[in-house]
Amino acid sequence: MKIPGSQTRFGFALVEMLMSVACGSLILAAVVASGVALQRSSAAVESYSVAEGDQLRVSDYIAMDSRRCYSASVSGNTLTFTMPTFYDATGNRIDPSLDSNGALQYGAGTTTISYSKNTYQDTNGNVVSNFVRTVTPAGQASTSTVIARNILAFTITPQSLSTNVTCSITFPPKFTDVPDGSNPSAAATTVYCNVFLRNPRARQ
Amino acid sequence: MTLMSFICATSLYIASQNSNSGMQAASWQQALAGADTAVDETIAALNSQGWTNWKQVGSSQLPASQPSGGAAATTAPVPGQYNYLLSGSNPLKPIPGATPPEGNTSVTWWATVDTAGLDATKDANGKQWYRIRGTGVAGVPGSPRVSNNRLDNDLRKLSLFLNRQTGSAISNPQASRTIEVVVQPTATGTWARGITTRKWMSMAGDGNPLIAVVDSFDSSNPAKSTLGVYDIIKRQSHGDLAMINSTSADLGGTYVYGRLTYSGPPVANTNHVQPPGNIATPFNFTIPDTADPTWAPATYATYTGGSVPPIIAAGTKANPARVKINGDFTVAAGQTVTIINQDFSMTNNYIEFWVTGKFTTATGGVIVQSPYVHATWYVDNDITVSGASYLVLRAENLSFVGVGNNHAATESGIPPFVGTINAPGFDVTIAGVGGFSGAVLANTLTLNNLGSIHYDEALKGSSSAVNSYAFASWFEDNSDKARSIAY
Repeated sequence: MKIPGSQTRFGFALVEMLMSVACGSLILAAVVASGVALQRSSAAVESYSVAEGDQLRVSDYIAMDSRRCYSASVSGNTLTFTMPTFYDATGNRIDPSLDSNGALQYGAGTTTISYSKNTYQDTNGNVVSNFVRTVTPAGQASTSTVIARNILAFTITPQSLSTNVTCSITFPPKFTDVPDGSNPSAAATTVYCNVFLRNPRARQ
Repeated sequence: MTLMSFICATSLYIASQNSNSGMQAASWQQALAGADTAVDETIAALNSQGWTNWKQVGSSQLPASQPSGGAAATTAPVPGQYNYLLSGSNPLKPIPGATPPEGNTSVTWWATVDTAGLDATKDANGKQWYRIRGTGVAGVPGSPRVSNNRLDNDLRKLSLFLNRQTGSAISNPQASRTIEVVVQPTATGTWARGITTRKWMSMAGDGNPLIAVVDSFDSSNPAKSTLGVYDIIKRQSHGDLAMINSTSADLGGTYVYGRLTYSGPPVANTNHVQPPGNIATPFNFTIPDTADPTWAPATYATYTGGSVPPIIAAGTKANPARVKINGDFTVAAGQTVTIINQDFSMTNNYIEFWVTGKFTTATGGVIVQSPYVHATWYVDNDITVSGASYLVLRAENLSFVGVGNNHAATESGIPPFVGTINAPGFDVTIAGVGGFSGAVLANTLTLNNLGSIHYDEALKGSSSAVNSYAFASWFEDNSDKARSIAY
């Protein structure tokens, strides 16, 4: 009678298997969690950078138009600057001249530039508020441009529209507890813009 | 790991873009500071007429890019010329050997000034206005790449590889901004404008363009007056106002057919300055003090206030009659003082009075002055007069010189008072319904609600100089015609 040879079998004991699966799961979970955190952080950084760019842009736009306008007015939380017609219909700069009474003039009529918050509902049903700059050259159609997206509020403080314009634009927080920002732990960012009306014609 | 690397790379890219955008915004703002400097340098050159380092080019077209060539400028440009000044190569160059900074290190500028076709003959005093263009250029540090947000590129038009104005290649990215300022001359003549005050003007016009107005006429021009007298049908729009310190000034909605120039805080209720916006600032001007005359002994007659003879004759222009009145001079009700001419020349009858006290014409008291006579009254105390009590036809024939400070001058009644009041230390009140034709130089001026002031342009003469310039318009050109962006 032949006694079968003993066979050596290699493998993991059940305990070892359980241990390795557990360790692997932990590592994978850590990787996934890190990835999600990094992704959220990346998204927040991007959002923050966009908001910072929006804030700078809004401030620069209003400052530029404040300086060159000759009057500013506020109506219905819309800030409107009125300025001479500096360009003709083809975009060429118009030279200044003196009228028969010695008063300075550029082109005929005036151009208005207004700033306002435009709120609407997008295709997904979300309420969106953008900050819009509308240019209406004399005798021409208006052109509106969104210069900042997703703003919370636009407030104008007509401190003295004959000397300077003060307004503020509030942007929602970007680093929040929950991704949709519905329960933010960070405060909103408010950008203040206070610009001296340099054009002497504004002082009336 | 791939996923995490991708996320990290994205974050770094975003941070890089953010930094790039921030640098570009900073450079764009620095460029404005450079442009402002260019304008300030030009204003300084115009005010001082010092044109050291300036060049003059014979061209009626301003250059689109940094100018070059030309001869050394010695005067302000005339039509068909422009002057220009360059800031230098790099005024903010870092210290040699120091570690290069991370931000921008270069802000340069250039300025041009020309007449821009602004017709000097249309200025109230025939003086030349100028257009100044200042361009500031700031370096843009970092890679020459556009912002990742198109809206930024619409606002901040940077030159990254090509100069936006010339289309030529550039070695370093740059931000460029141009502002255009129009400046008006400030004439120094005593009567270069209708009303000049050291402090405020207060007017109570009710927004009615027919009454309580400030406007002008020209008594020497039949097209601008009738028989040398103000005529509303021939109204002119050079009733200019100027204030050295506009604190508390209020035009009260009065129709002002002329230009307002001032220094200090904004003037209230200027909504009826015609045409709208006919306002400039600052008003750099010094009103000289007035002084009593210095007459040689025995060249004048002396009276006490109550002993002035009823008829006084004028002298010649070379040897005017001179009368000193010690104490107050009052023309009482029912009293008449007559000033007669010594010949029938319109330019050779002159008389001067020096009143050491108050000058008063009571209701019913009259000073009758020959139309040939030019009378000057030096008064050391309050002046009270009315158009009915001192009737002349042309403002050049009657001058009141108020000497000293903290006194008052009051005009009232019907018909309008015609003359000039040079009283820089006096608070002048125009209270008469008839108004005032001539010109006023005072400490303060009050115009009551039914009074009008009609500046006689014939007073300004032709010798008025210019000592400074005021901003009449400020405009930044941020257009980009290639992209159909104007405003």
